[in-house]
Amino acid sequence: MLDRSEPTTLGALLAALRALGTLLESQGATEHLVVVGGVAMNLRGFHLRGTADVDVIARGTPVPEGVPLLFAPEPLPPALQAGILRVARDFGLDPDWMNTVVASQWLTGMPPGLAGDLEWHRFGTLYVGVPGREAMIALKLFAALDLGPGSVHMQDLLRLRPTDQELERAAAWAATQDASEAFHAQIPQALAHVRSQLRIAE
Amino acid sequence: MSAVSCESLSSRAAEVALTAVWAQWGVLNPMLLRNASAPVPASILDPEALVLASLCLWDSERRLADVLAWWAARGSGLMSTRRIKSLRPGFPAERTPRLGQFAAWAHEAGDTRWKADVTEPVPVRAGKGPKELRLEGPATLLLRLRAGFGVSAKPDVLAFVVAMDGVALPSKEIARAVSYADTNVRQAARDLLAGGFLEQANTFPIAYRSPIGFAHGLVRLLSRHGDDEDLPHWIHWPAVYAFLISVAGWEGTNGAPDPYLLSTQARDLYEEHGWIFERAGLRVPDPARYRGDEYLPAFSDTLDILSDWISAQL
Repeated sequence: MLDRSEPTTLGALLAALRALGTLLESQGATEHLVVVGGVAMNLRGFHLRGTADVDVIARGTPVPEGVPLLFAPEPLPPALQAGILRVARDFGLDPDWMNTVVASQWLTGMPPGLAGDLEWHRFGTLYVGVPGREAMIALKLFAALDLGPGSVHMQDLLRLRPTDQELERAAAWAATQDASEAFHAQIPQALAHVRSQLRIAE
Repeated sequence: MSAVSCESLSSRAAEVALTAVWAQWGVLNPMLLRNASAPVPASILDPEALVLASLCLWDSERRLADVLAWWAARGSGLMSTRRIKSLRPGFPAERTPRLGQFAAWAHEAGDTRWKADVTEPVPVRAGKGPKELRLEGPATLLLRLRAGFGVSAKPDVLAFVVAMDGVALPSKEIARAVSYADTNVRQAARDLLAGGFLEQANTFPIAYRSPIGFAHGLVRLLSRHGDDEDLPHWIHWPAVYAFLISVAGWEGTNGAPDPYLLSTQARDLYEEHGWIFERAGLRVPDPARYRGDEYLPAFSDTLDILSDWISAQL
């Protein structure tokens, strides 16, 4: 029995993804979506944490034996939009359980290595691409710079246990995302916070 | 839920629908009654819904073609060609193309109103039924009023209001029940009001009801045996049949249907026809309380509840 007062679980979101893929398959449609956030972290096995939605950062077209072609997801195709709403109804989820809020990242650029290190998970004819460590660390650092050391993104970043080299590459990319001096001034502080927390954890 | 369960849902829905259509055809054509002492249906027969449902179930029971051909020849004049067209979209599209064949039989029998809808008729053993209609019993109230006053919204509105026995309802509610356009129902209600068949309740919006004692009096007057017959119930047979036939159609889907796809179709049906349960006072499981295909067992319970309720009305 569905209890709507309970928070959405990863299990519920995975069931929703399976249902969405089944719907698309029944309509003869195929979609490749790249997702980030909690679902991606879990699917890639980086760590398990609760999450309330599926963040779509890109749609993709597979290239045989090559790096898939990624593009901005908005607007989502009508069949996919209809499917998202149908699954929301059928699983008692918010209508925006799958959303493209994070796709605004396309305005300033995707992190390095995003397309080349995707791990695809199949749900019917819905293929969910999950970024590798490098892209994930970059995105998490950037999000943590925006929301601070107490944010879920900083927690995710720490759980990823980035190496110094990975942190430096992520910081170099993050620096391209915002030209303001204040933002740039935050980067060394954030890196110092990550390093100190990782040292404490050791 | 397995494919077997899907089959069980669809076969159960088909069985309930078939039981209902045969019980109703038995009212019109007593030669079809296997058991002369079978209970008399207590709900008002809806001829357009009965014909559409029978056309949809024709593949399950070929004998329905015979009885449809008989009815087309003997009773099509009591049917509304406009209403059957407006009800048709509520039924699964792939199951109603035979309306053209019914039109062909009716047209062949001299009812020119069906001409525009005629398609090539199929050969059937028509004529298995009385040559003259004899409408009896509370279930035929609507048909008898149409026979007396002509086919329009008026006899249908009157039959519904009689079945409601003094309960005042606004024209929108009446229109939904009788499946006529709201404007037609408003005009019909005004005319029936002028004729003293209805009275107006002092409510907002305006509501109509039968005067005290009118419903029982009318049914007594129409009784061929002078009996005090019970008032017939009003059931929205178009929606009930559309619901059952949609579920019955799941049997024909390709291969073993995915449980989730089945459950989402079940939710669609509930969204479309859920008001039937509310109107009938039936407490059925709320799909919003179940996640994904967990709704299927609850939907099966819904079908059982509907089936029991229909059995009680036949």
